[in-house]
Amino acid sequence: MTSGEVESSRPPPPPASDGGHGPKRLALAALAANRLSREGRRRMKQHIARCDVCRAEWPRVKDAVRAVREARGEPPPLDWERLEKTLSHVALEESRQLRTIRERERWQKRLGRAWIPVAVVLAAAAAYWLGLRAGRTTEPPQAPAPVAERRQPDRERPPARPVERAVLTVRSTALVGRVSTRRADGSAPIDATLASAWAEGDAAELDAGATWVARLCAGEPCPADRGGTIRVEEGSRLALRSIRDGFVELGLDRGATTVEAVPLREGERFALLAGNLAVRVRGTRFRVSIPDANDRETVDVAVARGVVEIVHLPTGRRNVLEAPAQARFVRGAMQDRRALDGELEGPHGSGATLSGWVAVSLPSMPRGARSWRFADGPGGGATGALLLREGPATLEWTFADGRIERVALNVVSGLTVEPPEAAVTAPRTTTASGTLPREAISRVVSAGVPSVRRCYEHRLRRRPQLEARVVVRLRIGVDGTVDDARITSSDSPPELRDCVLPAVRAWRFPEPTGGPVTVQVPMTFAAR
Amino acid sequence: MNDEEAVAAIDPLVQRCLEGDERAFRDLFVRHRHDVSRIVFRVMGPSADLEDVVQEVFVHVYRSLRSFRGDAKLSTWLHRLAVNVTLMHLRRARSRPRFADVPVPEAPHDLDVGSPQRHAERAERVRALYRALETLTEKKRTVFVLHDLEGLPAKEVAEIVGAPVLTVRTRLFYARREILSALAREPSLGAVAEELMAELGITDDKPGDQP
Repeated sequence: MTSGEVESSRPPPPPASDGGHGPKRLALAALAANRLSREGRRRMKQHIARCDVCRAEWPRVKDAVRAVREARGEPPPLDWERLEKTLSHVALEESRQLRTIRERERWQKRLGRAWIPVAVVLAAAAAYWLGLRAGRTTEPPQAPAPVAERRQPDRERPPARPVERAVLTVRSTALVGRVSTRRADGSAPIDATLASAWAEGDAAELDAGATWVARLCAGEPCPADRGGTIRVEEGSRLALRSIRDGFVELGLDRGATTVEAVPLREGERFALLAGNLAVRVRGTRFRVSIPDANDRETVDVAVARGVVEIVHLPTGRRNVLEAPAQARFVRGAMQDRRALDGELEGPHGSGATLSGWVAVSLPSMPRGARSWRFADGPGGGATGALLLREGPATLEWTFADGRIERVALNVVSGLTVEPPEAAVTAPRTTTASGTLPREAISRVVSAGVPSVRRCYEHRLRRRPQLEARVVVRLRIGVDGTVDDARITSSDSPPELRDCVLPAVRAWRFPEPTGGPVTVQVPMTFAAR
Repeated sequence: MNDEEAVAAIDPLVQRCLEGDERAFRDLFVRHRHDVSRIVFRVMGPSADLEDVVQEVFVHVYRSLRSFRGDAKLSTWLHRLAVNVTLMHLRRARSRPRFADVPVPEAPHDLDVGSPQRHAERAERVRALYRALETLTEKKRTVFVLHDLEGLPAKEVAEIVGAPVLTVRTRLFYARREILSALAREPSLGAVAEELMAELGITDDKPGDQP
């Protein structure tokens, strides 16, 4: 073969006295390709003379080396003219597209950010005009429930303010207790239970015992694969310090906040400024807390996933904390660094439990239903997730014809309430202490693998190097259906997770005995 | 021309392409068509599809130019693309029926080939080599072709395949070993065994000639 480094760096094989081995083809090939030293050649030839096995193999190896040498010939001449003509069509199409892109880039450069205020003014004018036309006919927004989460329709969002340069879309997904908010410009406070647009300086303060979970996204629209989720803990004060070019800086003045940033797009960053410390993140779950409100130089940081960069702003001192780890930072110096004790709770808590409250999902309303309410609890007309106290509860659906259907629930972690079938009158009860044979679970999981693999193969077309590991925790309801499935650990792209979860939810298990069963299914995806 | 000079000489051409200059695409094709066709030819062996694959490589080159960031040499990037497109073609070809009657273009007779019989033997040897290459994994095949046939240094091969040099050398070691074992089972080779045996260390065996 060629004068490659592999064989030339290897010492020639020691001379054998007999043929008690397989043919030494690589050494023979090195000899045939003239890659051995003088001494190596001499010893190899001596060996061939004595060894029947290698002598018998030598002609074939020599032929093989000759074949490699001959395969190094130049390719036959091709019809370059025809190729050029065919490719010119592709070149024309591609160059047109590139010219368009260039032109657009030039215009964007010229305009700079001038379009942002223009767009905001236009949006505000449009909103004002629409408000004049439709304002008197829309229903007044309902009073916020003491414990509630809503996905409010867009019409209830406050109109955009013309002074904003860039906005942070904040969507509350869960709230316990009371959060008071204020606008930097002193205008009407933000309703923290709704989706709202935040501008620089807007802030939220949480009462004792309150917890607020919200999704954040720079700008509008805010697709699911962007932004991050925060959980602000009781007694905290959090403000939007700045937002520009997709870089969001939140300031934590006191208390604690957990951030879960979904994999961000290029150029999109989250930073949490706590005291004099900036904690920057890319695709990470971390919690930052100020243990003493009077000491802005001491900040605790815990990282559950990914890596965060911690910058002490006055000195510019940088530290990197890689998950799973926690550390205390005093005047920018990392102290007391150690492994994270257990799993850091995400914004929605571990298993969606927030200090005794449980997130309950209402994915849709039954046909003909107008509203729902919990006996002695919150009610409303929208679906979504809400927080309830653990334990028994009764959900009532009110239909347009005045009929009321009740569903008895035992509220446990991660409960999804499906709308009742029209014919179902018996209450549906769930508990979390059933059993199901391991073999039965394995059988269903094995049968469901192809549907999950399709998700992976679909993504593989875009990212040929994609490898991923996902752990899905699923709850098998009393009827054998998956009534809740969530990813508990994953190093996979969100679009893969978004595909895996519906596939898993479609699995059908045998009915467990004694109540629902929760199982964890680890999945590893790798291309062969 | 060293590496930096090569990059500096090529960059303006890529730049012109990215500006949407249609003629720059043609210049790119003219400048690199021989390199690309040689890589494709060596990865896939004698095949009637050579021209089609070369065309496919350039279509990919044209359409991917905007993602070329200049962090690798243009030639490395082209090599990588040519290898990948050819391997993709081979993968597809494996699942398609083959037509035996398609004329296969052969390499020009640039080597010292004497009689028609010798020429036939030579062609058969090359075909046997490519049959042996078929038995390798794509990773090993790529490394073997780029290093042993194309003659690229291991460092450059490492850049093309995106693996450390040590990995490239390991793959090369196993590729050579597997090819030699596959060729040892090849009936077309060793047909002239007796003749070569006579040559061993005595006549035209160059390694043996040297003391």
